[in-house]
Amino acid sequence: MSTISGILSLMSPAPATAVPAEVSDSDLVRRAQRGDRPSLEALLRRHAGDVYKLCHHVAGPRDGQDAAQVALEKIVTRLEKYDPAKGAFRTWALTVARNVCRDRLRRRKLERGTFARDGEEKAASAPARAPSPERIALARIDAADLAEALETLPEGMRSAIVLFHVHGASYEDIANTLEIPKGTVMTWLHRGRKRLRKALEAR
Amino acid sequence: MKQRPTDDGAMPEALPEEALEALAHGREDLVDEALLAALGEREEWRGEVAEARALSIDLGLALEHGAPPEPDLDALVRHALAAHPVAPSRRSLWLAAVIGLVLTGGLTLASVGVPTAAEIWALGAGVLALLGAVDRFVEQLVPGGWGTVALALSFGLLLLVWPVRTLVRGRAGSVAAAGLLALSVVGTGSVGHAQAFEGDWPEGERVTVSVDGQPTSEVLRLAAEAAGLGLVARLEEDAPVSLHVRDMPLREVLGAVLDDGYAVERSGAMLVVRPAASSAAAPTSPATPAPPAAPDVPTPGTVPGASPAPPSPPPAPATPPADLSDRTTFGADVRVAAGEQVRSVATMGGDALIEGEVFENVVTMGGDVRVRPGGVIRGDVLTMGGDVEVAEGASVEGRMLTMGGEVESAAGAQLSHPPIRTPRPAAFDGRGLVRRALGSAAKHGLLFLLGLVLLGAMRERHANLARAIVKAPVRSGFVGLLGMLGALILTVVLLITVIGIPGAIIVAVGGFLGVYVGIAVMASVIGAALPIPALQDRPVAQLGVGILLLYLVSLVPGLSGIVAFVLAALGFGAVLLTRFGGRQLAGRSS
Repeated sequence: MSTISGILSLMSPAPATAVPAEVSDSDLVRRAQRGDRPSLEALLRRHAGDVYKLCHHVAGPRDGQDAAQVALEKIVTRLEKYDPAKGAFRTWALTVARNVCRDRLRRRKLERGTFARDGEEKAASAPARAPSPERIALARIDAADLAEALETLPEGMRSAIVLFHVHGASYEDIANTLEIPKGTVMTWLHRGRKRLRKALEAR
Repeated sequence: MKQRPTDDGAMPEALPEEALEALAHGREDLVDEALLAALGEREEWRGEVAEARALSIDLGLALEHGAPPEPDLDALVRHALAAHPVAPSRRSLWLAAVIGLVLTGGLTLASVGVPTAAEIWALGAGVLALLGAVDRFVEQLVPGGWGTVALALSFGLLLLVWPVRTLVRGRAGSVAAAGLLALSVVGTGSVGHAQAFEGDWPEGERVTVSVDGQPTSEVLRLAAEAAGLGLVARLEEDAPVSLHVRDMPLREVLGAVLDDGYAVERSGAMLVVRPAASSAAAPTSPATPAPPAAPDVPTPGTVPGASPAPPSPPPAPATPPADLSDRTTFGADVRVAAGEQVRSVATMGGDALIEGEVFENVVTMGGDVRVRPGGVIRGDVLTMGGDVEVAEGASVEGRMLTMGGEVESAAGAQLSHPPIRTPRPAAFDGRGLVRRALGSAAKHGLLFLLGLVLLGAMRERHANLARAIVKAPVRSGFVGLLGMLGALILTVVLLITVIGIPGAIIVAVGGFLGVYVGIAVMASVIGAALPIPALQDRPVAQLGVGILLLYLVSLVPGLSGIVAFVLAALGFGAVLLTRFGGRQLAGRSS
């Protein structure tokens, strides 16, 4: 029996090391890319919540957890291809999550036909003047209604809104995550909010 | 990226969206100074900014309020980590490879015994005989010979290159292109030999013929007459031909006159022309002389136990007659009648019945060899999936090798060498059972080594395959079942078409490889699924334990076949779904 356990110990992977909480993302990534399992796990635990929130809002409450699961799997299996020189790990992880959501939405054919490209209107309409109605109580809106209203937005616009308001991402981070120009991010945010308000008012 | 007023520098009527967005969120650094200056003078702009800011705050609150329920992040992370098995260390891989090689080698030797020099020699001779038979099959049965095969292979490569390219990512294009180029060159070079020429064609045999618009048969007759030969011609069409040649080699002239698909046999003073496809059914040389009565010559030696040759078979002449023909058939039997002499016999899907004399090898694939009284085979006998029967008074002077068949020789048969069977027959006694168990262990050892190769050299593919099996077992099993059936049907269809035999070989080999890869990955999955803490994060040990379990199941009669079939379907399905592990299967872990 001791011989078997000896052989098993020889066949075990490199000994795992504990991961202190203050270790930076880049250090964790470096270690994880070298095959350090605890670092990989720590990295995932650090960003799983963000990935889940994005997936929940973009893919929808029904599909959110599923999409988050797939996104995390992709993050794990593609970690070797991540290049820290091209941006922060969080941005890359959210890009992966966003792409997963987009693929799932495409499969569900929920993309709006009025958008020629991802999140971009075919015919740009002039921004409607604010009607200055009494403001709806957005803060008290039902979560389900909000989710449904979000689903009326094109995926790219929705992702931009969620990244900005839920994840507190800057225009630059959103541009990197969605791989679009910063100006487009700002336009999408502005139009997206107005469309969202209109969708909520219609309920 | 500052928001400029407009392209021509004029101040716009409305505040641009991007500037509005930036101003609503305190990013004046992104707005052009002229716009900022104008903002102080435009009250409606300031109102828009305030409204956009308020909307943004409200929506932020709404999204915060509508935050998703706290998920089970632990479970999400655990599943994600499970999707990425731990990479085996080099040390574990090498250690396992050494153990696997030693064990597999030892088990193989223990199960089949140490091969004797005679067996090794016979195997080598068998391989050569097989290659020779394949060459004859292609040359005589496939229109266009190797040229057609090369073109068929090129076409097959085209069909297969895309699924297979994931195996050699990045190099597929160049490999395929090089392969296609080489095959095309070979095909172009050899497709010109569309007629099959048999027998000996003297170099100096030249003819002079001048004729206009005569039937092909008449032109052939004139050419044969010019060479001093008789002619037997069976033509499917007798189209008019004009021929004007002076002192040209007879073979070249015949090649020019005849269409593709004819066989021309030079047999003694006769020239036999017939459609190549009928070569199997055609009689041998019409003027084959009866074998000369030879004086008694001692035979090369007999197998112990075989009686000393009652009616002594004709002894081997010093050199066989020069005008012998080969007998090659596909899906039909070959009979070498008493008194007949042929150079060699090769059949695929047919039996070989030898009553006369064969000077070289007799090879059957999927057919038996029966040597009747008086029949003599001076070369080797090789059967694949067929039996050999040597009757009393028959003689086989070469080696006899059967793969997966039985050998039966009558008491009065003369065999120069003891027959060799692969696999060796195992008696149903205790020793035979042990040998079978050892043989099965050796096969599982090979499976272990295959799994190690996947883990070490193709870890990503291995992980993708394992994921596919875990995520979609039902889908994998269904696809695997259909895939195996499809591969089987395709192989049979390609075999029937004769010209598709190379494609059939590719499909069959690819199918077997896919099934074995799938089963090896299944072993890893089984090992990983076992609730044994010592196996956690030890992929090599998981593979080893999985293989061990499969081996134990293989020893249970009845159960082993069912389990092997299910595992093969699951594994092969994953192989197909992930294109040999080249891509991930979408979906959630089950």
